[in-house]
Amino acid sequence: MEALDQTLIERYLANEMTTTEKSHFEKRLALESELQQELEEYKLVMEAIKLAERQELLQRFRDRDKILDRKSRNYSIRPNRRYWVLSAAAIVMMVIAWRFFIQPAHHADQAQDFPKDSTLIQQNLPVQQDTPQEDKINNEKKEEVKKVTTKPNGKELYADNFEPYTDDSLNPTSRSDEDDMSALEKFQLSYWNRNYKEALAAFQKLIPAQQENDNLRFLKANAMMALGQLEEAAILLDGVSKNPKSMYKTEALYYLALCEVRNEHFDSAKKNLTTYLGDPGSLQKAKAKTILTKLE
Amino acid sequence: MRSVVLIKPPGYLLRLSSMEKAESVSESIIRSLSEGNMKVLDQLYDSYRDDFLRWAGQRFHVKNRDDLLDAWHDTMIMFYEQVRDKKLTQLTCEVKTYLFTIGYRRLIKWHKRNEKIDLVEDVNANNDIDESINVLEQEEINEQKEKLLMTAILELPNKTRQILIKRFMGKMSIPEIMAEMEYGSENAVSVTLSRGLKQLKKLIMERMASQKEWKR
Repeated sequence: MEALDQTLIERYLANEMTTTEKSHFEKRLALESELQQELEEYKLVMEAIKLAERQELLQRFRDRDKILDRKSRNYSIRPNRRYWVLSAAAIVMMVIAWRFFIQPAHHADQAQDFPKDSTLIQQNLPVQQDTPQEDKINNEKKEEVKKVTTKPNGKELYADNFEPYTDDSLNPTSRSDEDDMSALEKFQLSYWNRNYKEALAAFQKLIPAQQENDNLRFLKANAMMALGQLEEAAILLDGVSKNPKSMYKTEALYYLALCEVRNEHFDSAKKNLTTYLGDPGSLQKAKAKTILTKLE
Repeated sequence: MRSVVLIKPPGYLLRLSSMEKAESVSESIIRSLSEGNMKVLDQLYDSYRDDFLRWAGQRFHVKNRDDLLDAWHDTMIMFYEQVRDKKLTQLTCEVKTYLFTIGYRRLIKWHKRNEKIDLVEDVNANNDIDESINVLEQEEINEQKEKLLMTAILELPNKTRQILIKRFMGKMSIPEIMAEMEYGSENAVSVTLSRGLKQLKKLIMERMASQKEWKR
């Protein structure tokens, strides 16, 4: 087959022929069986290319499945925990109800039916013979044990409550010409897509005035937290929380407290959470309250 | 230049009650996708996957999650190919509704096929059996052909395969491929393309010939 025919077939399959060219080529096809045969063979080639593309798409989707499943596993921890808390609360309520509404009558009966039991309890009472001094030491020891056992776990608390800040206003609805995006647009887009590494890289390319902007620094701090760079994030958040002009002034306090929780600086975390909860504009009150309760 | 259209989260789409808004979102999605913007496809995939799995799982009582995922993969591939081939240029409903309809049809087909397989296993003199066997035989032939074609194209170097996909599936021009794949000249792209096509055709023909020999 001539090289020209090969080119023609390529152009025909790529749908790049003009109407005249196409009509001329199709006329030739009707007359030349060799050309027809060649085209049929190339149609198989096209089918193979189509299959290869499908295979690539399938791989692309499988990769996305992995990402999505990993994300949903992280998210599903919280609802489960909520169910556990609700179940525990329900059990506690049932126990209380049983204790106060059902038990008293039963107890009265028991006391009458088995007076010996009461006596036994009375007899056991004198066993407690600790002196006041020993009592105090024991109490202190108990307090210590209590402190050790109930010390909050900063890592866990952080993991349970940290989620990079986001709201609908951050959603860049449409952008034309991805390649022509400004560094700021790239930063916003990467942040929105949770590509925090890319977001930080884009932040480095912002002009100095933008890098000094506390609203952008707040998002940068969140990206850093997502990547585990907590100390630098805390410095940024501290600055943002002290800037009355920043729209994230209040939320910065919450994230700062989270950094402190993670580093087990519980006192300053408590202080910041209390200030945060005192602000009527705070958005994550429920989480802040939960953390505070656990810290106390 | 490729344009990027970011899709709002599903909640936002669901709140869109006016047809106009739904159409404009759908149009921009279709336009971006037909221009080859794969990020749009990713976002569509992510936004509706879990909704689809929940919805389809309840509707078809499919317990195996992988079956539902397969259906969702096929749905997205079908949607992409329809847009790519310009068979789908506009929608009068939301993209989500359209996707779920494709998925629904795909699952119905799968469901029916499974029923037919059951009939084949159960050797009753059922009228549908012959038809089922034909369907299965046809599928087997298609599977063999697909396997042959896939094996052939996988023998090509990755870069050549990418050029072929971009040129014939992505409908990209030679200069566009040159820019995207960082080739030094248009001629280099054309040569790789032509050689790739010839090589692939040769591989397919050789494999087909040896398969025919083997069958004899």
